[in-house]
Amino acid sequence: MPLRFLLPLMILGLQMRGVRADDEKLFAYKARLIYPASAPVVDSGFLVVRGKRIEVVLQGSEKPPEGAELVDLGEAVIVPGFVNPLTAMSEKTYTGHRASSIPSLSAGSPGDSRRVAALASVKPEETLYRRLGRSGYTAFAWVPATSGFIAGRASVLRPSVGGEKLAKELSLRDSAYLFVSFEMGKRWRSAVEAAFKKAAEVIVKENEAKKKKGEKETKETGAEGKETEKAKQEEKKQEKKGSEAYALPDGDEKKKAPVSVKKPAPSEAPAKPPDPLVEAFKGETMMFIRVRSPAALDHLLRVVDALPVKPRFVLVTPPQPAETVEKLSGRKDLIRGVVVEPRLGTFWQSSVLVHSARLFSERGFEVAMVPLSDTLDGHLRMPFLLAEMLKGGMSLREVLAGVTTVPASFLGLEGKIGSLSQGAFASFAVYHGDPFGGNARLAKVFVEGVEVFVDDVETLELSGEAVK
Amino acid sequence: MIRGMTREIGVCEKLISTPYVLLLLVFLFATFSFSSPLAAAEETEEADAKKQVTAIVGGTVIPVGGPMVRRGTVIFRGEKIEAVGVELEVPEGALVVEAEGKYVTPGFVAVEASKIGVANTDGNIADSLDPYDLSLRVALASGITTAQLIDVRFSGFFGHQTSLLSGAKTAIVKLTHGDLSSMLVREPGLNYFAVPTRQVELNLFRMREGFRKAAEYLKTVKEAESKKAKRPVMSPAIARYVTILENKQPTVVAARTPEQVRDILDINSRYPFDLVLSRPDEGYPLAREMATRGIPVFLKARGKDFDFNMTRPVLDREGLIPIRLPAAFAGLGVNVTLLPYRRGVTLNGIAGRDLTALPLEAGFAVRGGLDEARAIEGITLNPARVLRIADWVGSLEKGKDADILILSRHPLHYRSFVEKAYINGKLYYEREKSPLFRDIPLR
Repeated sequence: MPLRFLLPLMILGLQMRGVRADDEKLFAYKARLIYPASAPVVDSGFLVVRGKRIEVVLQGSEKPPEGAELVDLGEAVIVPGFVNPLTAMSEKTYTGHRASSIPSLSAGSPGDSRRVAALASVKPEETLYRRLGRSGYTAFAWVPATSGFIAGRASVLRPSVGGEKLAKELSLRDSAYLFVSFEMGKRWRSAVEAAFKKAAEVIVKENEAKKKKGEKETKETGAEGKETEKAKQEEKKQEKKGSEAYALPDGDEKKKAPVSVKKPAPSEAPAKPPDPLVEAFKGETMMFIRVRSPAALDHLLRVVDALPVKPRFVLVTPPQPAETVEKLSGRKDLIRGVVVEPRLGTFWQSSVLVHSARLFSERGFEVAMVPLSDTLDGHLRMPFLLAEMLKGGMSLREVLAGVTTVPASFLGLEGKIGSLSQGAFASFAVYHGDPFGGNARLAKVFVEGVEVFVDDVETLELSGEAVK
Repeated sequence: MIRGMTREIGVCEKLISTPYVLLLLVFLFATFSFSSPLAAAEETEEADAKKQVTAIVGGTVIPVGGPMVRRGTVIFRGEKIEAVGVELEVPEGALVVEAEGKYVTPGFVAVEASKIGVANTDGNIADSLDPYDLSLRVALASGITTAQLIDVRFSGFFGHQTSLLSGAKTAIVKLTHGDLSSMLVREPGLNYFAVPTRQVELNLFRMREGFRKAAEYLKTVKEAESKKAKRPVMSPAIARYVTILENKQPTVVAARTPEQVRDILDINSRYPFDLVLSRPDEGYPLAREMATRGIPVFLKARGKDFDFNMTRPVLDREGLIPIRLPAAFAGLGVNVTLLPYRRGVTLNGIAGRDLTALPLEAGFAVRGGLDEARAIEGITLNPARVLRIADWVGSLEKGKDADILILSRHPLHYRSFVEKAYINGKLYYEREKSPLFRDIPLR
């Protein structure tokens, strides 16, 4: 009887061990240059990878650890896989023939789909997720394909290495941030105002309740009975208000989707999922707010300034004029960082050219960059744009951080993606030529230790999972 | 009153946006807590005295509403004009702006402007203002500092704009480029209404009935108010007439033919409201009545060059060619406001016909016989009066907003360029620093 149960378990265990042993295999990649992104550049060193993770980056003078399989990449340059903090590519649009230049998510009416997560609509069998492996990017924050003012929660995915069956397997983080976009006009303004006010009020009430609780604890035991009764009544009231606050104007789903304003009593129904917007206001999850014009930005700041509790957010923006960037530099209490397109852009509705990323960078903002077009081609062209940025006066450190560590920190995955630090995922790209010189050629891409794309310089043959 | 309130809010926002606000608050707190209210009042006066003083010196000042001053001085402190005159003493510490050989005028007021500084008109205009709009920059560069924005979707075939704007959304704004907080002056601006032009007998009857019912309704409202009863329910059919008779804003009525003008004047004498006539070109025979009743008019010095329906001769019945109209109406004592040929900024259109040619329009009116001073009034003080903002803008007077232009030549000259444009005492346009007209040599 026990054997009948144990045997399959043992076999399973053996299999697991075997897989793990294979996973734990040690590789040392030798390259002319290694950009760890989180540390200074290493000249002709080794990148040591154990299984899925990075073990260490060694200087050329040091010896690779024993038992490691040495892979000599020759004159190649190793760069951590880039991180895209904002994409909305789909199977239909990634080739570019129907894609908009930037993820355009706000259209029509100010709808609210805050509970939608991008992961729900990911189908790993689609070719898109394999093709991504040849872009040089190894992490993408996906925004759900909804329109409206709260577009939903972004999920961070990696390219497929082959064999994934569930969307979960591609996911690095299911819910990285809440994506909000702000347009001008009365409908948008009132929708944003209403939603933000409700979120802020919930937090104010919570804080008050906490204060009262603290006071109550310090009080004498004499009037305790009455106090607790009162407190209970208040709690009930607050709960009512709280649940009302989350009842959104449209859609029953939103009404059903309740929120735990306070700790649920043991007798209560199972814990309600928290409201993403309130969480974003508390700073527990990140919020990205996208504006399309400097004027919309001004209107947004007006709305936010009137709130009792101010959210902290990452600004997603088109090129802004220098004066606007100057104005924004005083608002770092609100703006955690900026996501811009890395290019000399024309300032909204005029012919005035601005170097938007540099302007923000000079004012001390953390700048993350997204490709010019939200297609596979756009991602492939990124090194050339980075070269332009360098030419335009940004430092190499800023440029590299803009596609690696900064977006990784916006997504709450610092140390895991976007750098070659110890313990990070072994997702990196190998270039022939200087990746920031404008003449680079993507030679290899590794995703979590698996080689998914190879462009053989000698035979000019493409191979790997990403090519299939 | 409304305007005053919005202005105050604007000032507050400006203050909040500065990093010095904390310091200021601490300072204010200290003064208020340790001194009497009287002392506090003194403090505010002192704060007022600390505002930047600017003096525009040596230019030819056209203050509007007063005589032209050669080699005059305009002094403004902060947002308000302090003094206008000759040989004024420039206060110590003032920023002196030389205007030798140049002209100094109040900013122009465009009484009708469309698609300027508005991103999309979804709901009200205030929430869609775009201070970075290119059209707004161009309009400011041509001297317009205040404008009434009108939301028009359809502007006529071939862009020749009809005056039928019945029920249009309006708002009065200052063209403070890049500064949202000081843009809005008031919303709504003027009220628009058109007398019927088709099926005249029936629609005229409907219009009269509408006014009659609206007047009756307002009477019942008044009675209800006196009894402190509930406000009676209004039929939506008479809503527009009720808005007109409530008279919260003046009503602009498009009436072109003498018959139309007669009709609306009749109605106005029976049910009084603030009436403004838009382009009553052929109603010239009734101009004297307009003058005696104090009804202002909007006119174009250049009429339609093209009649789409070919129903009307270009010369009208009285034999007045359009260029003579402003002079003719003004000559009989009518308050004339000049409209540009088109009310938008059409950079790709025919030069000199859009809003940027507003002073040129006044120049055409002068060519048609209008007095120069009256022509300038027609694009500054008169529109300000119609918009009910003449207490703040429209002329260079003590206490008014410092909306000032420095021009390279006489404002009505076709070669004249705006050198500097101040709004609320702040410099928003400088020709030498803006890419718009910087490269055109002054001659």
